[in-house]
Amino acid sequence: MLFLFATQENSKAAPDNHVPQSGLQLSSYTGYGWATAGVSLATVVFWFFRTRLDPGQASLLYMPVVIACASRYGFGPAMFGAALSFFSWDYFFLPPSFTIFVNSSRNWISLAIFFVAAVTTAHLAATGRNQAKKAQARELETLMLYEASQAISQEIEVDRLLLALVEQVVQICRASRCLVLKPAIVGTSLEVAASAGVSVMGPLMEAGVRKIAQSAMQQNRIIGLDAGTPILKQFKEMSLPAELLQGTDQEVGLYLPLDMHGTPVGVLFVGPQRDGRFYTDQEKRLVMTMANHAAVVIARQELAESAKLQARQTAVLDERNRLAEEVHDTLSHSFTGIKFLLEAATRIEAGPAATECVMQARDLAIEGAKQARRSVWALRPVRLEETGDLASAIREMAQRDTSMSGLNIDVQIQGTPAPLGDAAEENLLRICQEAITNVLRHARAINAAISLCYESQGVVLSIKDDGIGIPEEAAGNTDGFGMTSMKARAGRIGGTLSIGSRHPQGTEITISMPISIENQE
Amino acid sequence: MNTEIAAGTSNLIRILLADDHPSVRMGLRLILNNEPDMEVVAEAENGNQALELYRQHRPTITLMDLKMVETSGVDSIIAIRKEFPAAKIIVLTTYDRDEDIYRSIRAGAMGYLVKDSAYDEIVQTIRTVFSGRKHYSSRISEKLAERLMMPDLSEREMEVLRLMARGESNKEIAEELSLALGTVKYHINNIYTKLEVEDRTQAVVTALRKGLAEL
Repeated sequence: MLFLFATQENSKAAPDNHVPQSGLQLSSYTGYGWATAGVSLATVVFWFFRTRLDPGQASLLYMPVVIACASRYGFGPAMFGAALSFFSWDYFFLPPSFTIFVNSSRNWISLAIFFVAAVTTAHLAATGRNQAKKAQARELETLMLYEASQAISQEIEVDRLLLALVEQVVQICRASRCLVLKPAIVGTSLEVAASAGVSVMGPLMEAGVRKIAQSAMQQNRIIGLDAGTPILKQFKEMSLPAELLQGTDQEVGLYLPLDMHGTPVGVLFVGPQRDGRFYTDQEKRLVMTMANHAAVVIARQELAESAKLQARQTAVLDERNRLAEEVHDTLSHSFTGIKFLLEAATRIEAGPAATECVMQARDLAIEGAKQARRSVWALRPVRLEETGDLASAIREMAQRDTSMSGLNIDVQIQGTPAPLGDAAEENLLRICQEAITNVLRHARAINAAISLCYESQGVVLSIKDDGIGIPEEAAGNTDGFGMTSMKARAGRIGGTLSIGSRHPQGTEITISMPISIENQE
Repeated sequence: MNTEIAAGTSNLIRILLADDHPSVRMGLRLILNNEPDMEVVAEAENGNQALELYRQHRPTITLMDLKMVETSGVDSIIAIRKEFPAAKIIVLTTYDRDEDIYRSIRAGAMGYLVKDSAYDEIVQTIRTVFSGRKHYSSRISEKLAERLMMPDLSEREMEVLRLMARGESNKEIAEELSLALGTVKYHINNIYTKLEVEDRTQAVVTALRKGLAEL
């Protein structure tokens, strides 16, 4: 039986050598023709030699025709050929010729044996042929799935994964079109996330697809609509509400919910096949397999989304932490000191001690104001996207952050600069900035040097100063010097941070980061 | 022996200052020495030094900052009180976050002052604590009460919260604490419930505000 689709766009039948065919029927008409032709030919050939051969030997010519039909066209045409041979032999060659009567019992036996042998052979050959066909179909299916998953897994960009998938579905299933629909945000209505195949789809049709997809998702079951049966009847059979049809065009095809641990995350829709046929069970299985792939892809996309969101939140927290630390270390410290000094100056007797308090308070106020200015500069981050590359960003940051401090800073870039990925560059820049802030605050250094060295295996960033180094008593606990956040940053980009400090000969901080594919993303 | 002598010398309040900020120490020393009944006997700039100087001078009152490089104020209070259970320690710090107050008082601080308190309040608190009573301002008591109302976070939840505040992802937290990702998520959910917040950012901000996590 043939399914014909009302929406069929493409009426030329595609060559049928890709997918196991649903209809033995179609090709078998040709088979019957060939059977007739073969038997006729055998009859004509034997007719010419009939005087020189024994009529019993005709079976030698008929049998190959039957076998050929069986192996090429299956059991039906072979049986037809066998019957035709039987009658031709009887009619033309077995005496009395041109009658269906047979006069000798020997010839009767020959005919009967021929017929039994033909049936048995036809049956055997046809069975073999079917099994071979099935095996071939299975091999093809496996091959196509392999190629599809290959194509999908080679797609690196998560955002393009769904597109790669729907393209594969269109190719493998020879579908007119394939769409993946998913809610933009969980709980909202479905939207087309990817589409392939015949791309033009009217608004009414899209509305129809969405509505049916929505109910497939809500009920978490497959909905298959074919054009061979009235849609309303199919709706009734599946107990779908007829209201779904109102104001929309109905798009026939398969609607498969994309199931992730029992919760549908979207819907895969495949339109009818390009030659108009509906999907056989085997082809449905193929589509279902692709739907499973799609569910995994969506899960992967969601994971990538949440990772991005978390990275953004982390960046916000980092910035907030930096701000809080900056304010505590500069402003609040200065003000508290000034408060206590002035409090003392007003309470103790006037004299050198009181004057000393006021002087110190004044110095602290000047220092605090200077620090505050520096902080404001430092808090306005150097933006990588403004400077273009890491090396320039580090140069600009170093120059700007130290411009009011009197610290001499030298920036060296070695090797061939290569892009390291946004996250890695951002973190390296911030580590560098924090290290310089530390030098300015604690080191009492005159000179500092930043070196960024690109090697084939990775990058090494080092920040060196000639200040007092980290005091020995604090060496075991470097957390107070902003090391924790620098270490965390280094860890986040798969790098390691080491601190070399020999009190009182300056400090060197080195960050090594291997270049990996992940960082280059 | 020293203590007996100290106690014997009338009602002089002998004070140890522990603060990493020299200007604060200088200001405090000058005003406190100006009070007839007080004398600053030693100044420490970190927690370890505070313990050493305490052993040396046996002060009657210790003014302790909480945020110092190296040993924190709270750890220092615990260390001093372990050796000298009768030590009278007053916290004098920049912050009045719930958790700092709670932990200081649990460690044995008999007073809690913020650095912007009026001078008279500082002197008054020193005298009250010296006489053997505890003294917390109404604001501090309020915050302590608030902290006591909050369900306690477990050790594990505290660890997770601190790592969250450091900006680590669930995966990183799981690796660091050798936990399954699911377990980390479970802890984080409990943290949300206990802190009465809805998301990660709120949790971290609350934690920092209350002092449950440090920067």
